[in-house]
Amino acid sequence: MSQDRQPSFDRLLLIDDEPGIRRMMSLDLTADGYQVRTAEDGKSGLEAFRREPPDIVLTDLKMPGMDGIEVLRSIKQESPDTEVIVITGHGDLELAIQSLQLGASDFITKPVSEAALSVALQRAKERLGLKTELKAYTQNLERRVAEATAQVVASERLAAVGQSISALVHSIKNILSGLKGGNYLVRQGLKTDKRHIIQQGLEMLERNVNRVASLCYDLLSFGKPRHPELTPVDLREICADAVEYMWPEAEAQDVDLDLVERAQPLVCQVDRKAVLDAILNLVSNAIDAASTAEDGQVRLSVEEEQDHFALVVTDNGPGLDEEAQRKVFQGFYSSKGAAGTGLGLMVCQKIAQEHGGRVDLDNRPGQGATFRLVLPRRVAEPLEVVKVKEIWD
Amino acid sequence: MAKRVLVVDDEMDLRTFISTLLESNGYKAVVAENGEQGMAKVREKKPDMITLDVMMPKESGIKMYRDIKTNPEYRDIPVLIISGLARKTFLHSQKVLDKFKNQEVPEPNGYIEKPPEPEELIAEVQRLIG
Repeated sequence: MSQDRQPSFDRLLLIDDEPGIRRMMSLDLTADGYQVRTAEDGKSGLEAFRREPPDIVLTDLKMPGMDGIEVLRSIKQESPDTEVIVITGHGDLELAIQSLQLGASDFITKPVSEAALSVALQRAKERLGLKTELKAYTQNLERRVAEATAQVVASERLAAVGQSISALVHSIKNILSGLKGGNYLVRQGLKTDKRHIIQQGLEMLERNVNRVASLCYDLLSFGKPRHPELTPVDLREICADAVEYMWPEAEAQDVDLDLVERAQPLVCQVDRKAVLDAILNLVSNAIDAASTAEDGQVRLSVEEEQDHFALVVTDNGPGLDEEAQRKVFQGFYSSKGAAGTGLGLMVCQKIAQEHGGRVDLDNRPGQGATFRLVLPRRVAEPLEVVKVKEIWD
Repeated sequence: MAKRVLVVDDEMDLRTFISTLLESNGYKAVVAENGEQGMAKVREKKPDMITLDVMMPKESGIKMYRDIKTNPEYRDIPVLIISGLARKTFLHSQKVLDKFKNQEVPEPNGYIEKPPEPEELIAEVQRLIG
């Protein structure tokens, strides 16, 4: 039973400056089944303790050099669970009390009686046993709490995955339908020699092949648990890159894509590629939205606040209806029908969260929407401050 | 006159595909993007049959299906469900709703799981309205 597994707590360290006492006591104690090591003063006793911590320390109080009180104080500080029994001379009651206050478990007086020693050791061993048991219970309890928590988290995650998988399957079935449909249209167009049907079919195939590609991309970036690789980046550069990547798309959809220029560098610790991905996602959404407006416009800017930066994407599209606003950050919801995987904003949000930030939405139904990628301001590498010396004074 | 089929699906590609398929086979196709639009087209165009997607934003096919089948004026229009949902799942949802609303709605006239095969789809339409 558990008693069998209990350690025996029989490793002793005996510190006494009198060789006779060391010899006598260690003989007695070894005979009683203890493993005894000895030291002749406080300093070497403490060294022996650190080299190989015993279960119980027996120390004389009055020793030249480092005395027993000092030894006791050090040991209790380094290892509060170690039992220390002090050995005092006659009439050292005050020292004995002081040692109890410092955490000694017991004291015995010289000349050491075998019975008193045996009782003190027995009590020390019981205390050690209780402490060990208590620790085991506590650890067990902590482990159980951790296990239970992990189980709850795992089942929640499973539920979330299950939900996403059925949504994912729905999304794939729609893509498949598009592919089959495109295939049918091309065949039908060829059969009846109708060019516009072939054209329609090819466009449908192309669109759905692209959907598979972006679905794969989004799934991969969403599935990957990653830690952002933070480097100091001037956020203006990310915006400039985003505009450069997206302008062909904006032009194709007849949307004006503007970048609000900032004169000062806005340096923030971010994962450059991830943040660029997120912002491309937001800009691409904004272009799609703005393309339905007569005079489609998308504006990209950087806001600088006390504790954060925000990359801000504003469009003058239709804004989000109530349903879209509610579901926009859920996986696989897309208001764009064939055009969306329904993962883009989820990916954005994940990237923001990896940076300790978030994505905010300011929705103005009928007039447009503004998405803010909020990134906490981290302590960036200190920028060199160039001071211009006044030369006119 | 060509028979009129109302195609309700939120996916543009499916609307294009199904309506081209129907028109190539001598039917007239009318399209709608969700249940709400679908009901408006039912009232306006009086279709001979309806192909109906289930999971759509705004108003779902589940509601539109019940709206049709509980309305004496429209309940005889054959409805062919074309959905990513398994037939079993759809039927189950209807049974639950039957109990909840205390009304009995018949099973759909036909059911095709996405992606629809052109031959299967047209065969079903022919079976339902000739």
